[in-house]
Amino acid sequence: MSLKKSWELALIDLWDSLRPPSFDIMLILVATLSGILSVLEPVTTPPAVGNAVLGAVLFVTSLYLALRASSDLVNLVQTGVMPLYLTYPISRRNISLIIYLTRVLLPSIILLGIPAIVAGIMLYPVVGKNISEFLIMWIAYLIQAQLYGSIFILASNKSKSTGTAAVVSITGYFGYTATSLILALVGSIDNIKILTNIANSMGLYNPVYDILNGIRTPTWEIFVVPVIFIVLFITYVIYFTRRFEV
Amino acid sequence: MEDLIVLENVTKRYGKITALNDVSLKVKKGEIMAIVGPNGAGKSTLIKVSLGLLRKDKGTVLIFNKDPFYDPSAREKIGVIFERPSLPVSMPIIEFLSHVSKIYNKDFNTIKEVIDLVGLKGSENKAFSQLSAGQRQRAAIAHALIAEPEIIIADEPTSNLDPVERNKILDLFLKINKERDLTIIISSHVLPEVLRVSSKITIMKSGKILKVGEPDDIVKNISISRIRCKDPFTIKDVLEKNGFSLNIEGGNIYVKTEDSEKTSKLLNLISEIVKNGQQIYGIELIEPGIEEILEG
Repeated sequence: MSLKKSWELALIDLWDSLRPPSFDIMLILVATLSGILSVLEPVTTPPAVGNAVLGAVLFVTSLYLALRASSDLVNLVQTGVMPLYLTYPISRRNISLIIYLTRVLLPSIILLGIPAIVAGIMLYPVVGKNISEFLIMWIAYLIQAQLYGSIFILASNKSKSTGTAAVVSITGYFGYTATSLILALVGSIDNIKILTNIANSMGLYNPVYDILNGIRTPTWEIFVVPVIFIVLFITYVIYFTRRFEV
Repeated sequence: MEDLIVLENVTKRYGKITALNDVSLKVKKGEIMAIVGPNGAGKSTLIKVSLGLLRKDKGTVLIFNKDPFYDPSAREKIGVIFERPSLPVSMPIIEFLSHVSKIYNKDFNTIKEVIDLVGLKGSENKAFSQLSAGQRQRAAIAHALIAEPEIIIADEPTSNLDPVERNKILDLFLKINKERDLTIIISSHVLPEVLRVSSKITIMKSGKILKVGEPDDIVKNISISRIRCKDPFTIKDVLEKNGFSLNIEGGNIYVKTEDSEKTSKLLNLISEIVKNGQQIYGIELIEPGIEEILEG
């Protein structure tokens, strides 16, 4: 019964989350981008197709999630729709999961999924060699998007201000990627292996790509992004359930 | 009668500001409880804490004997109307209500009933953003009624409406209170507006409840006479010499009387003033505001 109620609320919120035109514009953009990259990039293996296409799409998806999470979620609070959701006989935990589903998970599945399908069709001779490897790469990128998404949604919930949430989200995203780049740079210049490994592990698609291509990689690299994501996600759910006020 | 909503010694702070200060309140079944106070009195905070939208810092909040912040089933039989009607903007009303009816396990007939009841027939296929201010509030009321609630909580539901729509909406509250035996909590910063619809009034100021009682107990026999005249200052002198407390605002004289005897004396005095050649355009007896009640 509780699941049915939550499902209805998810349908209501999806209407707002995926409403045109911004989502549709992004969808056209990422689909076109993936088409162009599929033609331009000289790739010969399914994981390489994943990296070539989804790397750029992840950047666009992350920016979309950052801006939508900050503006939409804060709008929900400010226009009184979120208070309305919280008056329904649905637990706060379920509402937090619904908001995550409609504002982060589903948009990122669609925004990463459509380009993957486009690339899969256009480069079928390559992808068709091993579809499961291509899918594993796609899941790695999806989990990476969830990491960014959970930062954004946590920032929006905590700040409840469009400006602050957008600044924190964008700073968080670029801070994370910049840290990864700096660690990689310092690690390679000074030949400090652990720094290179940490930098590599900050993008889940890196160790996944290495493993799929038979490159020796420390196992822990695989767990860094999922663990950070899970911690952030649980923090978001706990915050929403116990502290969130409208 | 059973208490449907119980607040005991509730305190809510926003940083250093105490929005609710040790507030206790009980709302019984079938009552129309008006929560009245100036802006910043803590009315909205009281309502939000009662609904579990805000955490309380101290005290107990129970709706149907359950804490609404932690137990969602406490909100099962509550309909809520906010100050600014706030339904998803782009979804057609009928579709939105259809989803909401499923949340409350109600069928499509319930939607038709509430749309008829609130007078939204013919506009149900429009999106919320396409409705007028009055229609939006009606849609919000329809949404609140979908649950077939036992309690309606309305936070300043008439504040964005013109006087005609205000009266219509208040009449609608009276109607649903009588027809469905609903308990209604309605907040407002305009006391006269809720006097005629409420069965109990709570007056708040600075996060505290100052008075709770039936409208007659609250207002007692205080009335305000508004006198519109050509020369307010001459009439002011005459009234003051006869012991009336008054003030002049916008060229009108406002005289406060505490009992019917004094009101009668005032009217006789006005009659004498007119006989003496002073020009009076009109005199009206109006309900007292919050400040007059608190002073008086």
